[in-house]
Amino acid sequence: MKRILTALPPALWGLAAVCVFAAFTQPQFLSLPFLMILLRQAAPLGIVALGQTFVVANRSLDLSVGATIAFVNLIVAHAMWNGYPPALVIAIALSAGLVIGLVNGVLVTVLRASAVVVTLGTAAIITGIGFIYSGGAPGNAMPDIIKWLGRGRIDMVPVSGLVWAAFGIVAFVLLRRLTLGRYIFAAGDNPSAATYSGIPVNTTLLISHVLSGLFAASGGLLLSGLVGVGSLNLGADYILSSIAAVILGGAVFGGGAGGAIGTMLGTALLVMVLNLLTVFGVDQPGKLIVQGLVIAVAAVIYQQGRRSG
Amino acid sequence: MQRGCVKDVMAATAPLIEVESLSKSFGAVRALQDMALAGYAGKVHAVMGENGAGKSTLMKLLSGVFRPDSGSIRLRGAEMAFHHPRDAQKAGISTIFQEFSLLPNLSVAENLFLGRERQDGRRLGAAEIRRRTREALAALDLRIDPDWRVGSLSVGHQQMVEIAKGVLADASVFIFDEPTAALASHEVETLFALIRRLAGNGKVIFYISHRLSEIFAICDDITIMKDGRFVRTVATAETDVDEVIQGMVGRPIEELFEPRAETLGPVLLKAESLVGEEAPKPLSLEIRAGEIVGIAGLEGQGQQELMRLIAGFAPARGGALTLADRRIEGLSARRRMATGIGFVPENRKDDGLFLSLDIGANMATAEIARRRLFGWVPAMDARTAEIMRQLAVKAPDARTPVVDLSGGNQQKVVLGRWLMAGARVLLCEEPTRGVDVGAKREIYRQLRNFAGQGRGVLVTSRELPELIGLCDRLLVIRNGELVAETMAREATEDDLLRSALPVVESEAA
Amino acid sequence: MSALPAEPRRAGLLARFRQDAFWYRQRGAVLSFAVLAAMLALAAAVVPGTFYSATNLSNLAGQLAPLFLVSLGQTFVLLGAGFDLSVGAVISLSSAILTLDLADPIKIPLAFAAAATVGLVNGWGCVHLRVHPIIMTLATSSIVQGLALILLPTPGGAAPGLLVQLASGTFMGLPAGFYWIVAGTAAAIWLVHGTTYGVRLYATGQNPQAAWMSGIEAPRIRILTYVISSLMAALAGAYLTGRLASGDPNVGSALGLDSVLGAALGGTLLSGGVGGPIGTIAGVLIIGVLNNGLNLAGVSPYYQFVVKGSMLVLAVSLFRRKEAGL
Repeated sequence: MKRILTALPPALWGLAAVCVFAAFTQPQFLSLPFLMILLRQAAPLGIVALGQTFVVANRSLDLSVGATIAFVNLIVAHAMWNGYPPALVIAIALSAGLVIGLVNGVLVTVLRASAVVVTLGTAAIITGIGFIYSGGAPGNAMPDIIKWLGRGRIDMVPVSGLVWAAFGIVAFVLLRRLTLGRYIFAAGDNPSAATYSGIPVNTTLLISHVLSGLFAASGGLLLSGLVGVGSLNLGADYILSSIAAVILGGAVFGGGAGGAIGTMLGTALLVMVLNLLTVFGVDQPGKLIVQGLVIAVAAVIYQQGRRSG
Repeated sequence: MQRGCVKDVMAATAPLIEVESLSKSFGAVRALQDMALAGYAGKVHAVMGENGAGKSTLMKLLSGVFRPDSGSIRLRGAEMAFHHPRDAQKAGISTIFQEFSLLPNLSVAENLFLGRERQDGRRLGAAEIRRRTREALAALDLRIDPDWRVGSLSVGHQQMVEIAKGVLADASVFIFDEPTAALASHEVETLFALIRRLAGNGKVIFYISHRLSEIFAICDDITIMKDGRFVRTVATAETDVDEVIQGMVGRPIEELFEPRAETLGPVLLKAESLVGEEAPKPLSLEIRAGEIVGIAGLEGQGQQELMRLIAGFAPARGGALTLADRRIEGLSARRRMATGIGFVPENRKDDGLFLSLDIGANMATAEIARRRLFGWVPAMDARTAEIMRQLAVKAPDARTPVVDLSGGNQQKVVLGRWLMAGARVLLCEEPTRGVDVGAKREIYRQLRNFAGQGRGVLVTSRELPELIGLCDRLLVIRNGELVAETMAREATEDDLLRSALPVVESEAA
Repeated sequence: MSALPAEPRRAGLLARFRQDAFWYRQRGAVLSFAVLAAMLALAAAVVPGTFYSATNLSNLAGQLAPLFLVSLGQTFVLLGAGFDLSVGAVISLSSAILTLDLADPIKIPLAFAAAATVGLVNGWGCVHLRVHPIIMTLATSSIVQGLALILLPTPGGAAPGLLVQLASGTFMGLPAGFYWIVAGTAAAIWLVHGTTYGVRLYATGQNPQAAWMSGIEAPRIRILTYVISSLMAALAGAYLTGRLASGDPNVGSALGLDSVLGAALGGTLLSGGVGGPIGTIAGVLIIGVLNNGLNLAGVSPYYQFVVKGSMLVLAVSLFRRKEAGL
């Protein structure tokens, strides 16, 4: 029984607690329309965090997701795409994420450089390229379909929420139903033992980074649609938030725990808490503090559970 | 500590260090129970026991790495409570660990004075540390520059530096944990001379080793341990090898092993003049279906390189490797595993297990690794349960994390991994390292069963009796070359050792 | 007694870097100084008059002083096999505290005490609660940044007069920043190479378990690296506050990552136990000379992002590690 309890992501308990708290203090917070607004807001982060799950479960880290989001935003908002089919713009944006992930993956696996530093480095490079590309003045020519993806609704349900769900299913299948997921968790737990079992450790890590890049670009696409215009610093706070969501979801650098569902719950918890703080009038600095505390507490609880079990 | 005349007189009759009813548990595992041990000045005292008998735990209690649950350690009659390795070192107990506690990137001088740069209430300057290091090294006849990086020294020298550390600290008790495991034979001679000298200076020496010949060559007394308990202490002069083994094992060693194969099948794995980067000398061997072949040799003679060359972790530079008529020397390790090679690495925790994953996931890795990257994971629960039953893995179910298992059960999980993957030839390094006697027997039985199903096994081990008892055929490796071959049923430890020793020594003998 | 044969002294300069412990740990630093020398020569060739002018060098010293201080602090953490992402936030926090409406004798010690507390929390979390350094310091970074913004929502406030004096102008013909650099560097080099703490830090960073078995308080040594790093960050915050004569709650945001860059470019390995503050001098100067040179050569700041990122990747790619990942 204890094992089942510890196997559940920390986010589930947090989410339950937050819902109970909200029910007593801010009941309108749990109304369907408001939840749908939250869903739309959570979707971009949710997708980025799903991508981050692959690398964190694989004992790596992607700190370039923020820069990737910003870069995707600058691409889709650029006036040069006027007159081209929106599908092409989307394809280019996603390819950018793929290439970034590939570069990260190659640097981390082939050169065996530290993922933290590599992704910080590529983040700086992408940011620079973004500035050069936009000339420091982001455009606002965004195809309508991207805006629809980011803020549109089908009935009451936000399109971005559906996209998030779709990505969640893909991530779940990749992590828990395909051999790739087994490779990721094995290589994340013990790369050496994984190698000696015949698992292609480097290929696995490379794919994890590619997936993270791709998911970050997809999240960036939704966020761009939600914001509706180009912006130089979009997504900067997604680095911290995506890692927070993954940790709340139970995945910590190679522990075999966590996964798509955990990260989705983690994202939901994080967005709920941050919005609840807004309702209570707590502004940005307070949110930073709460977010930091949440990460630290989740990491400590998880680590203590691991040590004793 | 005061050392008056009275105490000196006492020292001649009373033990310098005495352990009484010492106990230590890790979780539910009782590693040590009611242990007793007494060390007398000037005596070399062997501590013997099977793997898992509690020797390491005892030594770690003496050196302050662990704290005892109950019982006492008395040094010159005074009760000791060590909370930190430093406390034991200050009290004059110096331990030369099997896995060295030296820091390879620090210089010899830095290592020697690490943690004791202050003496007589003042800080020693770099020049003085260097001078004192030179003196300490000279006292041991070592010609090493104090500024050299310890990691650049030979294993023998590294060990001497460890010993110099004890000498420098003016320790009165020296504990040697398997000191010869990594040494060449001329280094062993040097070590023995040094140990005798330390004993001559009135030190207490505890000597832990598996090698009976060494124990009988150098030790005055032998304490035998079994299953974490004290069995008896005898004077070396009044006992013999058989009696010691009987005491350690509690039964004649033969009973541990399964009967050997009666008939062998066709050749399964064949290496012809196989050469690798780390194994420059051509290696040829074959393993038949149903056969367990052992590689015997002194530590570090190329066993590991040989195994990893066959497994494919070191690329082949020449020669041929055939698995059931299929040439595999050009394949990567991963592809070789897909064609039926299995590999059980020596260091189970670092290289074998996924400690935070459960038994099921651990067993499934090799089978999953054979599949396509984006293939579906098949249902494996039934097969896992069957293999767990077959190997008698003691755990409630496949969802148990492997970190909760004993060493023996963990090893079974690693073996199970290759059963599940359908390996045809298993390369197994040190199959019973860190495993208790009962589990040893289980593992021998499983390896024999594995071979009995028309598969082959290649084993390396530090323990010659294990190789002789377990295998059908033995190859001796010396300096990267397979130099002798013998049927296990005709092999003796003496003969194997003779082939394993470097040529100069064996001629002299 | 039959002695072991003498360990052969290997010939050649390169062998020295493998056999001699000091040079082995400083091999990256040697490489960095070589790179730095090449860059200085290049500057002499490309932008000689402007780069080597007194005004420019004096500006450079003023600009680089904070990066020097945080990079030196980060070097300690990296040597102990840790990682401190929170230094940027600590700089901002100290800037916010130093411009509070309090008396100087209260707020200056308060800024350093706050920094030391952050360091202790980081160290405690990483060492005793065994949270991964990246996660731990990321979390504290967020908290500390939040605190800085609460104390000082927008840039402004009055800096202590003492700091303004210490951080601006010149003294004996040299800019104030130069003295901060020299003092910080000398202290760091003394700690690492002149005290027993240094040797213990190298030992702990390489293998905490083995260090502990050698009788060293490895956990305490590691916690102390985070405290040192935070205090150096507070010092950088003090300098920046004095130089700007006012506070800024985001003043440190870029310096956090640059501190890792400075230490890594100087040859300190992220895996611990190799490198040191001497190399960090070269690492920071490489960043400074590069930025400065690109500015002088009229390269757009946009390209400087690309150059800096590429250098970071290059610096960590120079030393291949055993395993891929974090």
